[in-house]
Amino acid sequence: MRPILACQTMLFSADGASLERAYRIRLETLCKKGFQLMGSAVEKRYESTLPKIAIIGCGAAAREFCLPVLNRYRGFRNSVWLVDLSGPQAKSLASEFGVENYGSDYSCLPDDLAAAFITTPHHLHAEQAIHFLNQGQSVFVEKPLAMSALEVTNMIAAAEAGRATLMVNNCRRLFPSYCAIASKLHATEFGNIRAIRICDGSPFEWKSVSDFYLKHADQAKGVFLDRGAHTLDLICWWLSSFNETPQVVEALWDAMGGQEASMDVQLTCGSTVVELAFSRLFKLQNRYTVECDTATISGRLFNPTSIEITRQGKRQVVHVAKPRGYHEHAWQLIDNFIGVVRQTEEPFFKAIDVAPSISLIEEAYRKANAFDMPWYSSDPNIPWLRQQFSGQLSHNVFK
Amino acid sequence: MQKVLVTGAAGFVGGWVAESFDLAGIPVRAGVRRWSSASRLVRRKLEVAPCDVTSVPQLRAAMADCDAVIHCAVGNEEVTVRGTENVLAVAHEMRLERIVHLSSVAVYGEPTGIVPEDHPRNGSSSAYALHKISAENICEKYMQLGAPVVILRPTIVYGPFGYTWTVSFAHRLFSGKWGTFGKHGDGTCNLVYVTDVVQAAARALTSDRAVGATFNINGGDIVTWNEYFRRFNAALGQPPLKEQAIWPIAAKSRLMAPIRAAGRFGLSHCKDWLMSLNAKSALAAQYMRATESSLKVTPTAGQLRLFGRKVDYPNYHAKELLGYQPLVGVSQGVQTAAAWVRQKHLLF
Repeated sequence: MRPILACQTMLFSADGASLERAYRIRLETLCKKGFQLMGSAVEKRYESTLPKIAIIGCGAAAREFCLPVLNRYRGFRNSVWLVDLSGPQAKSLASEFGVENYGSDYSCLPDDLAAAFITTPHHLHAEQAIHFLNQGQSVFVEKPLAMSALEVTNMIAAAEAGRATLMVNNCRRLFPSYCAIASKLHATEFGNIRAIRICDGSPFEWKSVSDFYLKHADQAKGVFLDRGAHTLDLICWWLSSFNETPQVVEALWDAMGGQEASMDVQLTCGSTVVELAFSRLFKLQNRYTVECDTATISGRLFNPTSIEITRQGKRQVVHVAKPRGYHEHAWQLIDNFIGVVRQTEEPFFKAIDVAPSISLIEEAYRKANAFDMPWYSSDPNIPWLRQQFSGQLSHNVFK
Repeated sequence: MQKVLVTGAAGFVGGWVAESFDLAGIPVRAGVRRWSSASRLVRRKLEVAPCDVTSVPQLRAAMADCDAVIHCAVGNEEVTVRGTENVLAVAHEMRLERIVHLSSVAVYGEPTGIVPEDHPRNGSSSAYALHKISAENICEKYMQLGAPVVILRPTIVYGPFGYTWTVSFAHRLFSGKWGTFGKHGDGTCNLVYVTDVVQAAARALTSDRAVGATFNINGGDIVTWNEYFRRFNAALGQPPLKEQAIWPIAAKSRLMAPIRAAGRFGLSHCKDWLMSLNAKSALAAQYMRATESSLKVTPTAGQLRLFGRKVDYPNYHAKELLGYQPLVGVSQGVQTAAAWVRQKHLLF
């Protein structure tokens, strides 16, 4: 463990190294590290004292991810500050977890705050993270890190200027299965990658307290920003050892003036073709397939513990870790962040590592076109409705 | 200002009503129980409002500025029965011009032959039927109080975004474990395409003759279930179906019944625990996947009876009083549904 931490420390502080190169090398170490980390369950660390930490945004992410982890530290009740524009929401969450400090703006925060968790709507991440980073306070942001590459650049610049650490909850990077795949792909164990296919979809059930996910403002994008933040990051990570940058070939969505609920994206990276499908309406196959020259790696998207390798028609299931819950990976990442704030650990990965995926998401949105949807355009009842009601909209049709 | 509130707009039929009205330029407010269920609706810039039908204050807020409500919300007894009572009470109190209640031909039970609207209702076949009958009773109570209520009883509603009669059958057909059932599949498949139901709801809003009446809403073409399976299968581009012997399927259906019931109970009462077990035990996850997959391709006993039952729910009452005329035939409807299923990667 120690040599890896030392290696990461060296890499994180290598100011002169090009961003891309540093990104690739760090991911190599992350692959190896993932194996070491994933075997152990989340440790209970009641003996550790919690530094002063703020949670900005008291919605589902704070409740599901942050507070269950922080709750295990000594001094939790008076070391955590909950902030939400909705004062009652902050108070309600504070009372649920027994937190003593809460408020509706930053004025309630102590001057010697050590770090902040940003669990607010996506479009607020950059501005809020920069506020804390500028003051030298480390920040952990719920995914997606930001809405655009420019925001990411500004956030990273603020982290460097404030000598603070910026991390993001792209917790699928800790899935042992994904680490194993990255390791095999980076070592070109099965030759070149020919194609990657991922179907990622299920009915949207996030217990969002507010309606921000569904607002029509430009900031509120749909399934691709939400689920794609994980999947595109995986793609960039897996392809990171090749001297090519993924490019968007085609993006099709079902948005009709609002935000998309399903989206198909095709990418290329050198000779590798990547096909992605996302939905928040129906459960999709939720599988990935990575076709290489000599083998195909496949598996279930939400199975972090095993992968399937098919070589010459023979399929082999490889178990890479003991089964554990999805949330435990996020909790482990949060524990890591606390360790970073207390200067006892190095980050598993930094926000800068996911920057390429944010650029790619932005590019896909820019290039997105509508699916052909004949169930609307060719339906005979809709013109009938239009015709039937067209002359009647100026007065009450029901009288 | 005139506007139509659609309750249950996050559902299959409610979603189509809200989207079609919006596409046609009819002012509509889409009522949803949870924000997370509105993903389909917010693809368009239509107005979405919180509208849990079990909450009277939410209903009052949702019906403000509305002239009519199309009540599509359905769920457990509390939603279907108490929710309908609330919708009717608030709409009556706010003096809405029209209340269209989406019921179902399930209220007739499992009849055979020709079943017009005055056929006796029978709630013994399922809890769903029983709840729909109770909801209709509430509508009738408000009709007597002078509320302008119309009841629509659609048949087998299918089309894009539909799960029960579209996606789940696509899964079955794609599995390769589905077929035709000989004479046991020659029952009448009373398919009605979803936007034809929207048309009926729109007509029920505006027709003066509709008030206080109940209508069967069926499609234009009547086919057998075997025919539906064949046509949908062909539209999905699958190899031709083989005829299956009924007794092994019936036996499997009986065997799977308690497992299905246990699964339903588990998902409604201890979903988090099951999900956690699924994540932490490879064996449990494998068993759950195999069970789910097997349940998907096994018809329930009720469905097997449905596939063989010859029944017709005639439309003539709706045609005469509402001017209802189904515009989407089975050929077009099935082709459209299959194109949607393929585009959305739902064939697996």
